[in-house]
Amino acid sequence: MDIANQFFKAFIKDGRWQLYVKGLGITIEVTIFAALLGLLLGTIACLLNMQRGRTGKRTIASRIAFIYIDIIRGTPTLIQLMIMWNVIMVSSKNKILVASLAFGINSGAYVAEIIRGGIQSVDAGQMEAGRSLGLSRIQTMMNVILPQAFKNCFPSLLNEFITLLKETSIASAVGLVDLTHAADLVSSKTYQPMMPLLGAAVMYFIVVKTLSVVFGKVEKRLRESDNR
Amino acid sequence: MMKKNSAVLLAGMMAVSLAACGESSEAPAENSAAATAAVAAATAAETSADETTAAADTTAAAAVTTADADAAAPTFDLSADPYAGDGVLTVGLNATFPPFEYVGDDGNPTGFDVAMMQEIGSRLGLTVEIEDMDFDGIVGAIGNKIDVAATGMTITDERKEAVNFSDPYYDATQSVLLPADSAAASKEDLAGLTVGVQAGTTGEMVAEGVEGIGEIVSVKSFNQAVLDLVNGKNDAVIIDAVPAKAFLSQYPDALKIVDGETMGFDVEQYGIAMPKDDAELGDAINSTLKAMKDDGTYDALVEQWINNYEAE
Repeated sequence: MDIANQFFKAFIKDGRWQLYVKGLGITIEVTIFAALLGLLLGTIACLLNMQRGRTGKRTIASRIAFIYIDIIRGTPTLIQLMIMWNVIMVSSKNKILVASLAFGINSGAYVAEIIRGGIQSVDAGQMEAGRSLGLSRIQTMMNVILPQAFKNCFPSLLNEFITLLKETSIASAVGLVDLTHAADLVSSKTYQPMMPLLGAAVMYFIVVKTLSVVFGKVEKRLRESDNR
Repeated sequence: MMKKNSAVLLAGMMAVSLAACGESSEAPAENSAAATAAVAAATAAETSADETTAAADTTAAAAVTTADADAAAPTFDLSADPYAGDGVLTVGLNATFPPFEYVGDDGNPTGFDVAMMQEIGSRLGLTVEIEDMDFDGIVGAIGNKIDVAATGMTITDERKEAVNFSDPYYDATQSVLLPADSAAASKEDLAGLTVGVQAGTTGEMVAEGVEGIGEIVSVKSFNQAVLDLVNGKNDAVIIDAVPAKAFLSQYPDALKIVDGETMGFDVEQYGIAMPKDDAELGDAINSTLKAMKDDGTYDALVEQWINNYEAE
């Protein structure tokens, strides 16, 4: 059967399935680093972006954060990656590091906006209550507002992580052997693109599904004590 | 009542226009009913007998409707060919391979392969359309997105399982681009080095065949691989000899070449890749290529595009 032959050539011959597994490992590695970096950068950028001075105008830190979010959201990820690889980190050989940095910085800009949405959806009364209890602005933020904000952000954050996972396939442009590149390598040897590409798609889907299920459980736990 | 009538009328118009569109874009093989008797006779003659002998003179000459001036060279009628029958020969290539194909000043692919295919196309009475695509997808796209491919592609047994090749049109060896201060001079010196190659090329296969080689970094574009070499991210790039010289002329002080003979690489031959099920097109292209070699056009193209290539 032709399908069986194609399947054999795409996955089993020469132990080619190991290429996919290795590629998947690298994809997940880059995604995790980029996601953590993005979360950190995004939270900081968001809080700075929302900061206003005594007179109600933006502080310098706030302006810097705003420019960061604006520019990173306004340019394509591939161009950011190429600039990071060919210009900024021009002497680095570590593709995983460069890719994680580029995707992390990119993700941070989007996460900043997601968290801003989450914070602004928390009732204004929470800040007033915290302040009238004697907590400072920062203390209220950290202990009262942000925990509630994160819960509101969860669906959007999951979206962002899923996008990040699939976006890492761009890194094949600098030679990083992620899952998509592994499928490309196999299909360039067998001249039959269908099986490798379908196999890679199935693997991506399994990872995304697992992420969704785990996030769903966490979200459910967080909502347990709500009466909505 | 009015609304229902207009709806039915519009639906009818849509159906009629769809049918009309479908007919005009149908495969040429089904046009024989509408074609003139002369073409129909020629088609019948071609599908049975082999092209190169009898059909070359009278029947084909009578049936060719597009201009084909040279009476001495054999002419081919490809109007019944499943790939070239629409009068357009779609040629796939990867324009990161100077001087065979590269993106010229006007932003369009240009180079020796482009010039050669345009000459072949004009001799066969076909319009040539160039498709610039990733190299590792080209073999799989023959017969689907593209009709043939002329992209400095080496004839290998594995590729021959998937496509037909024309007669060889250029001899080449892989060579190694190195930083100007590198000490590597033989195949053994490549052990442990990080080598950049383009995905799907024979350079990649050669790299995989070197014992003890370090990391093989395969990218989609030779431009990126050479840029990485210049920036120190790779230790070497394995690429065909002629493009290696072309890249060297872009970075004269940073790189040097060690040629394939010193490295003990095999001599390879480039061929035009064509669909496996189309012997007619293969014969047409082969005989045109031979005619070009015989009458000096081929040598003129080599002189113009390869020997006189200068980097921008």
